[in-house]
Amino acid sequence: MRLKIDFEQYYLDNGLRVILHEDHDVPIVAVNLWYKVGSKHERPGKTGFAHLFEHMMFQGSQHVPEGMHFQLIQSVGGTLNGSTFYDRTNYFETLPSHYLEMGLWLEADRMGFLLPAMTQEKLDNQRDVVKNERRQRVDNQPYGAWLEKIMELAYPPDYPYHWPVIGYMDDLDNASLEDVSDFFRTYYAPNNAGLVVAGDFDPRQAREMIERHFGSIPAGKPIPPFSAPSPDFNKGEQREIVYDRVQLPRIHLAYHIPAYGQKETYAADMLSDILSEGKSARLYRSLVYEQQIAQEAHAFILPLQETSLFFFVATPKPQVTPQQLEEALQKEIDRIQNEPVSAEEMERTRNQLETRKIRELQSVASRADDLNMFATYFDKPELINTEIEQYEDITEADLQMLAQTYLGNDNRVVVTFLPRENNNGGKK
Amino acid sequence: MAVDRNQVPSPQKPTPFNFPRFERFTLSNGLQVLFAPHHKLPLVNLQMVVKSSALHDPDGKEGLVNLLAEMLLEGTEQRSSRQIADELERLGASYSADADWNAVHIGLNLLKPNLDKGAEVFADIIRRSVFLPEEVERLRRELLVERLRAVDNPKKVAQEQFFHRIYKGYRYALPLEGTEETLKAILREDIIRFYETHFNASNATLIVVGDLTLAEAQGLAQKYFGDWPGGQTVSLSLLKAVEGVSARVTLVNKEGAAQSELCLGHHGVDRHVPEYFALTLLNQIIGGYFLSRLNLKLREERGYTYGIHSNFFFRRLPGPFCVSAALQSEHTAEAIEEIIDEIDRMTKETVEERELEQAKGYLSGMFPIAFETADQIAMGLGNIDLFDLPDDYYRTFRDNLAKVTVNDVLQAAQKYLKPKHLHIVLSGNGKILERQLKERFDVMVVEANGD
Repeated sequence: MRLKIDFEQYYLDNGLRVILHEDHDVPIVAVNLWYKVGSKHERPGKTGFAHLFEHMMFQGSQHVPEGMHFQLIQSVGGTLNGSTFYDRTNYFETLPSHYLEMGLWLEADRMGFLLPAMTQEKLDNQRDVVKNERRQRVDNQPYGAWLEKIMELAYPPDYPYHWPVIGYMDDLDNASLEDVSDFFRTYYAPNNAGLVVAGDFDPRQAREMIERHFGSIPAGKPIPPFSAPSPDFNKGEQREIVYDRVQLPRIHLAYHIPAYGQKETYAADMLSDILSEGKSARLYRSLVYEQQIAQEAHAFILPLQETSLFFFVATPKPQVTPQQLEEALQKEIDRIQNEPVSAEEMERTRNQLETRKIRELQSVASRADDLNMFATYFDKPELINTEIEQYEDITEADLQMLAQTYLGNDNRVVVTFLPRENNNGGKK
Repeated sequence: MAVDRNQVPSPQKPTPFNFPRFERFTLSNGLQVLFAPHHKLPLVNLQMVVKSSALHDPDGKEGLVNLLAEMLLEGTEQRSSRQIADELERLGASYSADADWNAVHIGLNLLKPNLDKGAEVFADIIRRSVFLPEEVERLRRELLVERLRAVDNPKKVAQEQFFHRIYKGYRYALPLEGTEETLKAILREDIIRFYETHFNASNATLIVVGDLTLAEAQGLAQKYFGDWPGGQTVSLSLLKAVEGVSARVTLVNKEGAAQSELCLGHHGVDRHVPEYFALTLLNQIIGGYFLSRLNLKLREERGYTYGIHSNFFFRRLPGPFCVSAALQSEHTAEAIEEIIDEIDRMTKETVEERELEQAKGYLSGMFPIAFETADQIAMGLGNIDLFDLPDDYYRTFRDNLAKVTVNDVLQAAQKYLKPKHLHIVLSGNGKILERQLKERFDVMVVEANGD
């Protein structure tokens, strides 16, 4: 069973990509902008800036007074947010459909006219907010630094996935208003962005509105080419132990795999589902249910544009050592390398993927975001309909080959979290 | 074609939208069924709402209903735990069974062609679970480990301490999933007895939303639940609330904590409160969304937090009113004073007309976004059933919201906000917090691993 999302794509003269997807079932409309800039465009010493900049995009622009961006949208019942990732930054709102033009006006104003509204006071405020975001999400969470640690070990210090999207505290302190201007002038231009409008609108009217608000924003200078050295595989194992205020250890294995969009990465995604999607999947069934040595065990991939990672995360039961659990987990990895998965597992995973895909695309907001992701990463918005075919071609042999090629010890980072001595709350 | 960017573009003509009309029917055994067709995608969503909750946990065996709910996936007369997972997951279904303070919810979401096979398992776990001893023990051990780990999570620590303080003597004082002691006290026979008493057609409602006709929904309900025996409905009147007593500020010391997790509030109201709409708007204005007074002040003006939220937990029986936030350690006491001042101000002055209109605009305007998908509609139907709301509740929601005046909000605030009787719980770094708090409040310090 397949979903078919219809859309049209065109470009404005200034280079802005536009994708329209009509759906009149409910009178709402999603406005979704992706900019081809993420934390990978930062430099050491200025980490976290792409995300801090994202916060500044909500602080008003030349024709939108401070505080009005949120106010205009929320006071008519719209929802909005933005997010920053390694490879990109996005901004999105869902509005009652009769407010479409207001959404476009707001997005156009911050794309074309952000800088006149920037002040030191706003920057200082949002820097504090972001530092509190980091404390809340990373520093004050159990195992909160796990991904940061893995990325630091998996990539050399100058490699653009080495540092966390949220950035380091000291670097956040270093961000200046001048950085805001430079970043805006370099990356925030129609020729580095894509706009998707999805939902209940008249396409002829929408095209007029888009031209009216975005058409006169000048194209920016050519975007500086981005290049990261192509990653090497199987360069040796990296291990680290981290002591944290936690009751139980937790082990994290990360294997280098190719970039998102490669055949291997789809196979990796499917393999992670075979191992981990549900209670019938191998990791839960074996480690949690049968052997009862893990409290939880998961596998998943982090697909990125330059190069990706395949993760295993598992927590041992109180009387089990991290070594014991790692050995048991290794047996599951060996098994994937040594024998093909069963036809039943293939069928289950395909059905799960198919249903999940349909379920994910229930809302116009998620369709808009998916269209923009495929357009931004691959220049192929049609992947929203066809990406599923990539999974259909994968065979049992492909999965086994993938495991043999990429799930070797020389190709991984292992980070083990251990409870601190005198752990607060850790009376044993 | 020049555009005047100083003008906010005017809206177009709005397209009418309303919550879908739905069907309600009762099987001969007493099972209530609520059905709304949703043909957009080939999906079907089934929710069984069993109207007994953690509030019905026997004394000393708190956590029983939560454990029971999780056990529903662990074996029936015909299917082992493995078979349940294998069968549902092979269909690509997503499924769940969990308990909260209102009910036990069993959910199934799948593609229509798989509905029959999925519904067979769904009915089996609801009607014929067996609670095998080894499965009970395995799950009990798993839940005990989660209790051990609860102390890791600073937000959970603050919340648990808050409920412990304000609801002493009442079920809410202990976590939904129980404590180490109460989990260990639950016998398999207790679970079976509870299941036999509470799981019956008279004490449950089936919600069906998706790509089905009424006749198909009726056929489905009849086929899988038509011969489910009726039984007793379970009343909530046995439960009584007891006012807790505590120090005004409780600080749970977590050495080295990078932030303070705050839980501040007091007893609240149930979902049937006559001032529901006024209270919902009141909450919106003080801490319900980004534009709230607390968020604009503590985040957008001061930068003390990434976000702050307030909530009336409207349940079948009264739930708490609380404000929660992760606050910067150095500014914690100051932030708490601001929060208390804002709560106090709500009881003293009417809110601005503009603030009220904005909050109404948000809640009415987002109505179509809130009911876009079948899952969202199923949740709406679940609320109508659980809280005894009239069938046209959502269809008249915006009209009722529109009627609320600034004076209604003030009166609701004066009646239900208690700025002088706020309980305040923090989990955070005692070294940084203790002095700043003690300068302003009566503080009791406990250790994160304490009682």
